Amino acid sequence: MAEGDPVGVVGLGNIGSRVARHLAETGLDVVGFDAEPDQAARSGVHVADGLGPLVERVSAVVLSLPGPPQIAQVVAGDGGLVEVCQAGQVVIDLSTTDPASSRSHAEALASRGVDFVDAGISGGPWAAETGELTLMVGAAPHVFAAHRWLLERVGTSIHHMGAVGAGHTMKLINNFLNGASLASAAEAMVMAGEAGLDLRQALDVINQSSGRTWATEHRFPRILEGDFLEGGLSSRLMAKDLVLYLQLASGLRAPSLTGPASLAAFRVAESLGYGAVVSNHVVDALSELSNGRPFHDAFPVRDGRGEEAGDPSPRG
Amino acid sequence: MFERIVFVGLGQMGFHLARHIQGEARGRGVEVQGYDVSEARRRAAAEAYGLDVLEEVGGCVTDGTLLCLSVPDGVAVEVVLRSQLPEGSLSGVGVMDFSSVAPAQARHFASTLSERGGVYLDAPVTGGVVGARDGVLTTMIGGEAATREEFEWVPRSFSSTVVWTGPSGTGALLKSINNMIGNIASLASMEGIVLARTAGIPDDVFLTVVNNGPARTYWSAVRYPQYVLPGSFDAGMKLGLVNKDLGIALDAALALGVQPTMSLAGRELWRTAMRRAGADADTTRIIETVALQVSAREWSEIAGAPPDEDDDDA
Repeated sequence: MAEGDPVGVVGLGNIGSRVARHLAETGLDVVGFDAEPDQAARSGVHVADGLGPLVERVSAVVLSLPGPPQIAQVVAGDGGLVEVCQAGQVVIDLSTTDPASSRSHAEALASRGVDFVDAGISGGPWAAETGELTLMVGAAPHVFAAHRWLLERVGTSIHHMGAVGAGHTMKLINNFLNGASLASAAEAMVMAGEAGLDLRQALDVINQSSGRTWATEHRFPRILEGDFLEGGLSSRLMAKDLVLYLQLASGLRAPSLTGPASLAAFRVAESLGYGAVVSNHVVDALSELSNGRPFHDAFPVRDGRGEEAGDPSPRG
Repeated sequence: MFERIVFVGLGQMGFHLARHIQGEARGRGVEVQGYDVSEARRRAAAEAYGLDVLEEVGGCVTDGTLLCLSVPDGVAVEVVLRSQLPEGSLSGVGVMDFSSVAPAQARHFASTLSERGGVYLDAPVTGGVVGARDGVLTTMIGGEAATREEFEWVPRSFSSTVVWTGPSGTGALLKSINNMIGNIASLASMEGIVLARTAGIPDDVFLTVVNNGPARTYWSAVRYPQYVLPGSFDAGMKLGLVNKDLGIALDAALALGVQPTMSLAGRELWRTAMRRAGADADTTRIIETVALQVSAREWSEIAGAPPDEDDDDA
């Protein structure tokens, strides 16, 4: 493929649709596909009738899929990319998945002369929309060099981590820390509440001290004010990422003590009915374990004058 | 030597304990009387084995009395002791507490009695209602008894094994350690069951292997086959009590400078089960939480429909 060639995007969900729209904005000819027609229609992307028709029109196929089974279906399933791609094309996988399966997909595609790049992403939907994602890339050096131009239209911070699989590996390690720090911060806030500390003050101290993490700096200031940042990664998907991380750890025979504990926290959230909502609600689940009530019911945040914030009437 | 035993708490366990004690006491010339706050339970013991029941227990503890307790928890023990022990010297008064209380409570009771010349022994039992009925319980006694033989025949009447565990509170502690092991080991059994089920290994095959070797637990041998597989979920132990037991053991562990990390992690599963099903729900409901925890699937989905008793006739 050459710079400026048409690009296909398979999987038009939260991230895929935004990446596709942004690539089109950079002047590329973009065509999308999603197995769910409704999702495809909502995406605002020009869509193909199927994987085969999409592949015929593009040089690069970008994947943004929920996880290993969907990726396996698209790459190795009936009528999948291994069957329909042509030599000289490239498959770039932005999904979060297990590196071992990425390596096996790369091998299968290589037998057809098709390049494979695994690119873990971070930055969230907003960065996808603006092409400012952080990319952690796994690919052979010449493959990385050949497709770098396209990666640069998706992200602004591009890190070539090593051979195929290295990108997704890096992503799983980062997501583990995201989950572990969120679960830890939620536990700490419930603990502070049970101990009778002022939560705003406690959070201020944490954020000026060694305990601070992304979760305490960027999530909990909003959560304390009642904004759970709805729409972000759900506990169910957080758990899925942590499962992939545990598989990685087990495969490498490397120790993981906080991995199972972090997974347990998000599974508790699922178990208590918070599985489908943003994983920040893990703090509600831990609060329920502690005292039977969601976080804000158990620990109403008071305003600066010592009055309870917000409407004092019961929650609906 | 005491001449009289007053047994307080004629519940599921106490009913049988008092019966065995009465049988043994007769030959020793020791008088046995019983009491329970429930009139129905008093009458049941009186009718079943002729126990001499007291309509009121107040004032009956005097010099030469051994007060035996089998009440729900340490709070109930405290209430009985406060209301029943006479003022002043307790010389010649003994208390054997077959209830399950926290080690710190047991030490408190023992020191309170000892200051006034009495003896308190924490003597919890294990073996369940069936073991109590058949008189084959294990009793673990914590405390300083000047003459063991003065007290030991009492639990011997309903136990196949009686052990002296050490200073006051160690009987209670050993009981809670025993419970902690059982409840945490159950979780490992359940993880294995979910895994085997997911892989399609039939339950009977699984249980045959597991229960015939070192992986056998109370869960795999009794609770799962008897109360989960038939779908009845009625082992008779409540989730709230399991959680309370775990709290007692873990508090004691941390206070002693021991940090049982596996059990601390497992305790949160028991807590989740209680939050989901309620403190009064049967202990066997834990399998539902474990299924979600380790496979993100409902137990009903993993287990399929409960077996239909009439299948063979169809």
